Amino acid sequence: MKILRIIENRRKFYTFSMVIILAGFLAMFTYKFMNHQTALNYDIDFVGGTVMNVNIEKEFNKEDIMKIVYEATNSESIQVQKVQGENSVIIKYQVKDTVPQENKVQAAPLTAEQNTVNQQPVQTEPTTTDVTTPDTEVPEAPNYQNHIENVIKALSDKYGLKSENFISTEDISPTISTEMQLNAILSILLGTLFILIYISIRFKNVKMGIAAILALLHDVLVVLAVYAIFRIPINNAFIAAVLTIVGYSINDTVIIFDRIRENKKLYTKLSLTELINKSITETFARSIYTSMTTVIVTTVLFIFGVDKLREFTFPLIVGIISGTYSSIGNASPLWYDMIKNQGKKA
Amino acid sequence: MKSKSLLLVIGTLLAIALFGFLVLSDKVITIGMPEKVAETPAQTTKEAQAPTASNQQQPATDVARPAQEPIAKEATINEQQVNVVNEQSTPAVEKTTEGQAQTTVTPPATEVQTVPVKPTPAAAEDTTITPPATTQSSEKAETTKETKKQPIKIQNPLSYKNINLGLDLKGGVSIVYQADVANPSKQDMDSAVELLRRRLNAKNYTEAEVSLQGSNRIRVEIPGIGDPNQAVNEIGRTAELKFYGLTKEQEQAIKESSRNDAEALLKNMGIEPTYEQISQLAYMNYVKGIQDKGDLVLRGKDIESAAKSFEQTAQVGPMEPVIMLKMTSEGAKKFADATRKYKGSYIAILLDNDMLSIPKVNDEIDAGTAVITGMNSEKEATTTAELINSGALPFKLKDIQRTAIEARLGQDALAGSIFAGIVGAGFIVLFMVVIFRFPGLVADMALMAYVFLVLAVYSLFDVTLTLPGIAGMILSVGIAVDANVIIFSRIKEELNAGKTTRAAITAGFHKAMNAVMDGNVAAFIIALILYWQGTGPIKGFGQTLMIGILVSLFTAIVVTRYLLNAFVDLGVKNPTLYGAKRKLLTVGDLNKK
Repeated sequence: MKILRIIENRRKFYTFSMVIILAGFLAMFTYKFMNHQTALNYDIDFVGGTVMNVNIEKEFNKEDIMKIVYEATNSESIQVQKVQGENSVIIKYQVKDTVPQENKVQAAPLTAEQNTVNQQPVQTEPTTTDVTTPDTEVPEAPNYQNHIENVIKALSDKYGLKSENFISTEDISPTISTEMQLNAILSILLGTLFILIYISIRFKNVKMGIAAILALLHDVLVVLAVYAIFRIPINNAFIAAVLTIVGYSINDTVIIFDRIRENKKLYTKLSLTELINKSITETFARSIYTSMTTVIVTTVLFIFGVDKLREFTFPLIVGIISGTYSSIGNASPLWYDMIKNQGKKA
Repeated sequence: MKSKSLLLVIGTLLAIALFGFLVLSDKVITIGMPEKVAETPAQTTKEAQAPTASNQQQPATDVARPAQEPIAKEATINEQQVNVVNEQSTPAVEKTTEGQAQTTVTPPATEVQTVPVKPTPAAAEDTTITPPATTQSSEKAETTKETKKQPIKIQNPLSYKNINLGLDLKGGVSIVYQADVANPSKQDMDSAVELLRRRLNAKNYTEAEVSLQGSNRIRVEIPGIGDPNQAVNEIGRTAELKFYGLTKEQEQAIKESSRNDAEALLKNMGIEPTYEQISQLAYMNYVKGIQDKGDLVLRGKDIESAAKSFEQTAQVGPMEPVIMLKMTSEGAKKFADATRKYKGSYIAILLDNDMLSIPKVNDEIDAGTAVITGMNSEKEATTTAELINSGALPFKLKDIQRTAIEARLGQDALAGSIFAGIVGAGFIVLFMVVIFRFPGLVADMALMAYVFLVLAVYSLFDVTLTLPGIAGMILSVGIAVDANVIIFSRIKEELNAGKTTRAAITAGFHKAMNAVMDGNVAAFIIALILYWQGTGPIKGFGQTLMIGILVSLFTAIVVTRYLLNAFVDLGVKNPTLYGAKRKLLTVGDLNKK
């Protein structure tokens, strides 16, 4: 079998990784400071929004309502839940950008009749909005009313609703609170610490543990870059995707390290470079097979799944490929870079 | 040797098939001949069915706690406590509870459902409460008589239908609570939201969502819950623990006046009261009397932790579930003072308006611990301990809206992902056979076992699957395959190095073990910490990942190993079948021939 020259080419691998990760940060930066949006496309789960309880009074189609709310607000995160056994609906949506909002209102001035509709039912306290997104939304207070009015008008037009049909409209806080986000990050950090301890003990080598965790960090950042570049909504599924990649990546890296450990005992005369290259080459087929099986399944899900599922499977596919890539191209070379000077001294 | 191996192979395949059958069938498996059942009298079906609603899981009656107290001996109810229809009931029951869910706002008093031990027709209140139970069972008996005509019914805890689906796939209950105070502070609302989250987590509703709505409301959405009433009451409870000291005379006076008041009130209303009615009302008066006149000696914040435990409460008798309370240092001091002051008298322990226990104080207690006895069941002890541990809400919550909501995504989302999962699994099955040939086929069998086992464990552990959860599960199939990929690659290497098939299998498993274990242990550590430290969906993810890793280790290592060895015994040992590069007769093969 031809031995792969991984160590010799490690700088290329590092560069490629850095380019993707930096592209992600660049995208976040651009959206935040050039387009005046949030750095990431936070979903209603993460920042909250508006909840509206509407009695439609007749049969309706959930997709229609989604479309109407989308057209009225430009919101990318809309949840529509039908109340069982009734013709009423709970609509949740989140509005991010201010600019299209103003255009919309100007384009569609409200008639006197609709104005009366708007004034009565809304029981909101605009002052309590935007607590969670302090960056762009500060000047948005008047707009907040506007998008509610837009939704009410659009729904009234379509279904012939009166003010009493709009049972309530209120702000809603995120379901994933800041505490939960902090908790998630802390859990992962704690997890990596334990992984570091485990690898250090099992492989009698702290630096292998550090290299594995750097590879892990790489994969998480690559997934984050995908979310940033493609503006995929950050929601519950994002947490699931990141966690899946964390579990997958660590498994991938450990298996290569295991082979290095084994070969180190078998071939004592090999240089460090040869040892790592040989180990990666031997496990290469397995790495490819495993990521192929997983990527096949995820790709099938991507093709046949609904849109909502695609938002989840696409980052996963990238994450799995990244996990395999980093375990081959980053983890072992990083370990090499950490200990190569030791070898010279000895 | 050969027959043993044959048995092993057939046994394993049968076990997989049986598991598959159980997982894919209904919650209740019915066996029997349709013609035969046409004659079956309705009575038997009624008998077989009716008890499942109430008897099985919990004693549906909620007997007043101080059983030794003569004042409330009978089946008594109070506003806060509702425990009826369990979640694991037959489909027929589920239907009726769903129907219930449609009625939105109902005052709490009417929700109290009890099934008295002896339904007395005279009791006005009782009759309004009991009918649902009896009509339910008779309706059920009728429907089962017409549609399902089988006499034998087996409960199937492994059915995939026990797996809850999340808010995105199936919907659930949406409850809006409102703070029962004017202008609650943002801080109090936030801590109330956190508290509700903790309570839902403790109940394993990890996929439930809690959010602040407006300035004084909290919206809770719980996926696919069978009985919303129970959840609403348990989760929205204030749960403040209070200890009241009472002298003997005070207790006696309250007891008497509460009974007299109850009798007088009922007589005034022109009802000829039954014993049960008087007891019920008297009990409520009694609790109120204690709250009004008792000396509040200890509160929830003085309690550090609560835990369920078992203790022999009577001189002779079985171990009973109790709650062990551990107090803070300040609480311990207060409790010591109180027990000194009320030595020979009573200290009543109340959770909101629910009397947990009213023990007589025999001695001063300065150890900072207390035991609450008189729990009806182990489950009640656990739930109450959880409630105490989660802490008290800063204010009372009123549920102002309660609606059953349908799935956020369309029905096609679920169907689509299941279809995609099947197609994807098909690809994996093919892939394994193409790359690894015969062992690949064996791995595919193990993979089937994996899928069924995981589904069975999900249904046993009440896992709630969301769309990402399903995708994660399908992905875990890929991780399950990984162990086999590692092992089979090793076997291939060993075969190419010239070993016999049997020796190569042994060596392959042996050499792959380190890698497989290390990889899985590392992933398991992450899963464990996510489950232990995480909240909400993070906790849920940790749980499913742990299940996936454990089950996949079992199927990929144990099942495939035994199956492969058994197949070798049965003569399937040509190295090319195992992916070896050349067709070569080894010495071992020659010797055997």
